[in-house]
Amino acid sequence: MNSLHKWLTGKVCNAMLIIICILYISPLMITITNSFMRQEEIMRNYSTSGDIFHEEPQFVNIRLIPEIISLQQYFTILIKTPMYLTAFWNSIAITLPIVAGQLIVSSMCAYAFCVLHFKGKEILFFIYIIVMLLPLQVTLMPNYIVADALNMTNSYLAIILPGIFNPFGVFIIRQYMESIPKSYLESAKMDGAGHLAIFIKIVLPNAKPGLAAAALLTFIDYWNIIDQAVIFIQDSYRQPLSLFIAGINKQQMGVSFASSTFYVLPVLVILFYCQDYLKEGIQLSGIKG
Amino acid sequence: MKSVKKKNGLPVFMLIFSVLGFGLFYLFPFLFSLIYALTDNPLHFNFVGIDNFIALLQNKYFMNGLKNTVTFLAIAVPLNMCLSLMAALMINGRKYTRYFSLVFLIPLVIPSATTAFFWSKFFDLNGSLNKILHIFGVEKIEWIQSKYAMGVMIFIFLWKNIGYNMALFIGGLNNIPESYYECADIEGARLLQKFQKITLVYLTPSFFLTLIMTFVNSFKIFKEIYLLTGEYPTENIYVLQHFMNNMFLALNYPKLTSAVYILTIVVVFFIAGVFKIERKISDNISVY
Amino acid sequence: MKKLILVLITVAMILSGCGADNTTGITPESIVNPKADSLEEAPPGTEEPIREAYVQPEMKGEISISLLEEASFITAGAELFMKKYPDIKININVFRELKTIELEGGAEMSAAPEEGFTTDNYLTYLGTQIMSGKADDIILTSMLSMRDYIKMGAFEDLSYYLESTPEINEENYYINVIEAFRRNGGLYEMPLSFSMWVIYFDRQLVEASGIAPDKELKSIRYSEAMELAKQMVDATDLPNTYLELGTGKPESMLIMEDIDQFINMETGQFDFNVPAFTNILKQAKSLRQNGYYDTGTIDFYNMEYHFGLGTDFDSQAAIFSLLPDSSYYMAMPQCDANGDALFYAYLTLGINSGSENKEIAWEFIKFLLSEEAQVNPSMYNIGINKAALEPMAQRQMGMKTIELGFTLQDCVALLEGWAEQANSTFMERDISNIIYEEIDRYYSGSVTEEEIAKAINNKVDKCLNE
Repeated sequence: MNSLHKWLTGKVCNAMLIIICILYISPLMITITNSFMRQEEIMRNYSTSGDIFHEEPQFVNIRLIPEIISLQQYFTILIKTPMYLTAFWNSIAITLPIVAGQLIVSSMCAYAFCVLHFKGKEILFFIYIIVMLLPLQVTLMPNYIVADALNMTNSYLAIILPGIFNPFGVFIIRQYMESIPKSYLESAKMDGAGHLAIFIKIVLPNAKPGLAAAALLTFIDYWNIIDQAVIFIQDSYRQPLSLFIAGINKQQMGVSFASSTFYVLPVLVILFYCQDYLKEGIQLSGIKG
Repeated sequence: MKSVKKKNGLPVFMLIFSVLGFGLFYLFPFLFSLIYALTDNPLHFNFVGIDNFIALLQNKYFMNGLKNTVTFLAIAVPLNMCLSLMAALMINGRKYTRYFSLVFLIPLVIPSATTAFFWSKFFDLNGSLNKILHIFGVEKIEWIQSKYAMGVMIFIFLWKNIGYNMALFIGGLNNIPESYYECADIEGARLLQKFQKITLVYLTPSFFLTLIMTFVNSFKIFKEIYLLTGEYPTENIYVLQHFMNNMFLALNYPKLTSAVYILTIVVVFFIAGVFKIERKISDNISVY
Repeated sequence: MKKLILVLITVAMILSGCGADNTTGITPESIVNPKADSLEEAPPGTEEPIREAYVQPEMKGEISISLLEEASFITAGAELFMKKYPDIKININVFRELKTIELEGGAEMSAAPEEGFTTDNYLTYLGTQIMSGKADDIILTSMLSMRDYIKMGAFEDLSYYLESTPEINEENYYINVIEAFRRNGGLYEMPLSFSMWVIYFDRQLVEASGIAPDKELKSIRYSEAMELAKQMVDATDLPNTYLELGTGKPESMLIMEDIDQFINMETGQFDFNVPAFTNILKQAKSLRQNGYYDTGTIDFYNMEYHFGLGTDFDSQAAIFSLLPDSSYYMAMPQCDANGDALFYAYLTLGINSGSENKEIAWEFIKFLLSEEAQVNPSMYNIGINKAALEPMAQRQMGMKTIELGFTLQDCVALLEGWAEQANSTFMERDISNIIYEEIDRYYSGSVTEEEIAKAINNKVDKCLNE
């Protein structure tokens, strides 16, 4: 693996990587720095209002450094409109239970898929995958009917319960569990370990990258929900933050930058720590036969 | 028989628990929507058989959307897989891996509206891209209305989703026991051989995973595309998601669901093939 | 694999069979509206089962209304209605609630940012509710693409209710406005009020140029008014004379008044890529380029300036044109190519076809149309009930702090004359939105008229035939 690494860390690759990184960071950087601009400056930079009279319409002028650093936008979202803070906590109240529940349910189900052998197992798994592919527009309405039948509308449960049972976690975690050598499980079984012990002591620790990937991607998915919130939550005080970020209001472009920053930064911090687990490989030595 | 049941009681319970929730919130809606596909109106449910499907196959917009969707997937999915694997290999095991991988994950957390806003300002007639090209004397192009629109769509899709697959690949790469490489080193295997025989083979589950997730995400990217192009974009980027979203807003569930079922049938055959290959390879792996 | 698909299909078949049986079993005959499905094929009324004469229901129960934004007229009407019938409860569900928090010192600020409650989100929400049969009994229809909703049978045909309500007649109501909402014989939305755009000319310009519109005119096409204004501007040497204040887009006005020429909703035929269309764009563009519109150079406080024509909404235009020293010359409603005066209705209500309280819902709509509700101070536009006009005019006149110099009767008479003519409104909001969008694009870039016409053709075709 060393020589491959050498090539991949070579100068050409480094340069490429840096260019790509700039492409990736720039929207975020622009969002963050522009959130410190005054509304007038933003309007001036982004307006392309060349009209029929002017032969040369002006180009968008994306600037990184504000002329005057202003906290006006943050004042608007954090103090003048307390809704943003409430919505932030609403988002957390929706997303955290989903991530936790999803990890528990999916890892259990994935484990069952790994150790059980029954007819139609692969077909069941296949159905999981196919259903996962359905676009939201199709499932929204039947979901609404189910939620209504269970009397869950206007409650976070209508979003959280389907979130927990999202087949996507099962799929990711199973793929990782499959790569744990079967010999580990066999030898543990030989020693008389039960399913619970094998699940908790061997499978879960070794599937950490899968769990981390599932947690991370579930978190991102549900942090960004819009349609489910629109349909299931009627009370505007209980809406998640994602909904308020959903539309950029031309008159309040500056506020949009500030609220986007406010929306993205906490997630980035979580991502930053969560992704460490992605790199935890199978710990061969950790298990004694 | 009884002993087997007792032995596997826990996993069976785990499975049933999950399958119940899955059935209620996912499988039921899926099957329920088939009712719409076979009836003429979601309010009155008059059974019309496969009329909706026949009507759809004769609908030029649906066929155009299907064609564009298939084109989009055929280009974007393999590109995404290759680029994200490259990114994962490039980043994994570096000094600042965590910072780099974080960078690639940024597009996922930026809200759709901000993403769409940013790219619309980039690809606008008076946007940044044209501004840069203007310096080199290139004529202004209205990218989203032009024949390059599909390229723009694929670009945004890749930009947004490479990080996602990369995270999955990094997990997969680190799941390959280091000892395999050590063994190969002892046997004097070459770099390319190691890559072929170990990395690629053991990444098979991850490949399958990323392939499916790319499909899923190719549906999700639509939010940005929609914000960027509106309900009725030009012919060459009108994809099935536009069709489905417009049908959803027009309350035309019969058309919507039959479109989804046609799409699903196409995807089922494709994925079934991939699934079979994947199972075969991973069965071989577990022999080791 | 084959087995799986087979199983799936069988299960679904069984399910769908059950679904169909159940619904037809549950649904009472009166709710099923066979017309809604075959809207295009048969003119309604031919196969319609003969319905019993409408009897006023027992006035108790609960109904709900779905609104995108709060409408004070409906809120006030609901309160009056509940006072009148204490056994009825009306729930008003507002999607975009503009909640405000009161600060110290009486100032108010909004608590919830509006961004999340876009019209698109509302349509997603409403569509899901309607199709799952959980929608509110009465729905505000003014922002909906009613063509699609009616095709899916989401709204009740109100003709039956209207026919059984003899008190809504030509004498007391602006039936002309109500009738303008008929589609293929069915009436699916009921306007509560409407407003009209009134065109007037600048008196000084008329006097200086000697060019004036025909005294006999009752209404005028925007294109004719534009031509007159152009002549006025050409024939005078007054400083800073322009055709019109340059805030609106004359292209939109010109196209919308001629819309029947480009699209026929009954046959579904349309063509925007015709010389008549592109000429409108070219004509407006050349007017702009030749200085007929202000480009932001007017100093409104220190300069003398004149605009040949202006547009204003009904009651304000009436008051201003009646002032003794008015600069409004010959204010009259804008009409379309057929000479029908245009109106706009922002408060239109429909009854959800899945509602279980249709009778009470109709009673409430009827109440909102009655004099009792229409004279409410929250009515800003011309009420459908003719009795609402005078109090509205009085309120509008009372709001002006200047000495008016004319009587309430003058104002009412003028407004009545206009309102009687109101006859035509373009109901396909999605199509007019496409046109507005493309005209915006025409303004912002170097796109040719033909490209715009083609783009509109493309979009309209998708919109109608998707």
